[in-house]
Amino acid sequence: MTPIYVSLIEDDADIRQGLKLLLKGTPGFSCVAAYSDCESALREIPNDPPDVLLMDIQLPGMSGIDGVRRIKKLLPDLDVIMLTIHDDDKRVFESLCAGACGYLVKTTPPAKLLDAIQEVYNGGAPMSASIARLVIQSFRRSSDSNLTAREQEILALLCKGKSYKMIAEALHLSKGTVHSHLKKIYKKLEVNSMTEAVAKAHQERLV
Amino acid sequence: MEGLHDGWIACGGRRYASFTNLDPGEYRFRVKATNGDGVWGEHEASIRIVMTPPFWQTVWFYLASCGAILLAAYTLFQYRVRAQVKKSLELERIRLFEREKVREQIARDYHDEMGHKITKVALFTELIARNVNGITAELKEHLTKVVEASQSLALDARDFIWALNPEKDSLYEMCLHLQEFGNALFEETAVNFQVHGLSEDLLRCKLDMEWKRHLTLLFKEGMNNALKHARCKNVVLEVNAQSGVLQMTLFDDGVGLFHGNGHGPDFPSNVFKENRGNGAGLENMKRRAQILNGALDIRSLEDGGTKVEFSSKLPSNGY
Repeated sequence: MTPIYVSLIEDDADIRQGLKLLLKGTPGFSCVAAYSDCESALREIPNDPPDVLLMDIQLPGMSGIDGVRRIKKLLPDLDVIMLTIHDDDKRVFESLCAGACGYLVKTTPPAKLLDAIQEVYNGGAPMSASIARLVIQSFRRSSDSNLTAREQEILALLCKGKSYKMIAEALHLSKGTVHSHLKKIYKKLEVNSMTEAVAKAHQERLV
Repeated sequence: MEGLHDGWIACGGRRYASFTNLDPGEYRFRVKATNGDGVWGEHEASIRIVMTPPFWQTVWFYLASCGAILLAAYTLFQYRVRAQVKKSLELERIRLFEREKVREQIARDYHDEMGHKITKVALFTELIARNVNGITAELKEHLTKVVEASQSLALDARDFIWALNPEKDSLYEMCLHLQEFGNALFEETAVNFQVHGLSEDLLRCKLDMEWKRHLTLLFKEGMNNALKHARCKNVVLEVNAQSGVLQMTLFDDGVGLFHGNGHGPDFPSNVFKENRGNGAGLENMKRRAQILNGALDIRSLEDGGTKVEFSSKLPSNGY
């Protein structure tokens, strides 16, 4: 089995080093590169693209949120996972709109962190209820939300704070299927917020 | 004219009398006449005249208008006082919100720092565990304890930040928070956890920091007890907020409470000590309920299981 190639952007040297060693020392994972800021990552990543990029939200210079937007332009198929200390709804939501397909709280135990990377690679990462609510609101604003009925069902259940296990049980789906639905939701959210941003820009220029 | 003049008034040959500007009141008009020779007639004629006052000259009208003026003045005064009170309350509220925001920001910054350090502890402990050759079971256990302690520190800090955040001030957010806690707590166990009664209506129900903190801690303790001691299959948290009264109930279908000293009929004493005595936990829960002026009812159910019910009037002084 080929390992999951992971790169990471993290400004704290110790954590960067620790994550790198953790990834290198775990079968099934390989650390491609560890950058200390978005600027250097943007320069070098296209030469050595990973499968998954772990991105700190709070970075000196360009923020992680802007970083995701720029990197997804260069590598549209790259899975970006945000790393954050607190599950700050607003910034997490903004990075999801910018194209990230999940987020992890840094203080998650290392073993779970690795599981979560694996999970995101196979499908979308879990979403907290309050984030799910923001996502639903955002889709509601757009006139032609292209969510399927299933995706809407899943979002509604997430919004009620249901865990993956419960959603899979309630909808008679496998956990894996729930994941892949979620990945699509993340993708649509990105497209949706892009069109929304474009529409807004148009409007502002007209006014 | 009796009531106006004291004596008779001679009118000469005039055959009429006129009075203008008669004040309201009762009068008697008396007339005596002479004939051409100056002989006074024996009889006099009289008519009673009552001048009814126009309504604006009545006593009642005076009283009523005085009353109305007073009332208007009073209302105006009240209104101004109230407006002023409202304004200062509003100011106070904004000030409070700002202060809470600042407090939250400080806590958040601190949490950022702490979070990074905890992340390091967890990462490097994991790396040590992986790299020590022939690691003993004992050493592994010690390392696990380091990681667990730092994890719970991180979780506590996150809870604290959450409670400080003035934007997350509704019963809805609190129940979501409890639900997320429950989901994580029971996820890897055989226990099925559910929350009933959670709807966005609860967004309207505002809770301040104290309520959020005590209620979450109370029910987290309850859930922990259910997991540790109740040996149950199902745990349900039920929320009900109607006409200003909040009722939150945690049910489990486990073994119920054992008389006086914690859960379970054959409760091993060492477990009891290790958990610092379940009695202390229950006391703590009761204390929290008291702080919120609420009633806490913890009891075994007849058909097995335990019920923890908190009920109280909701605070009306929300934001």
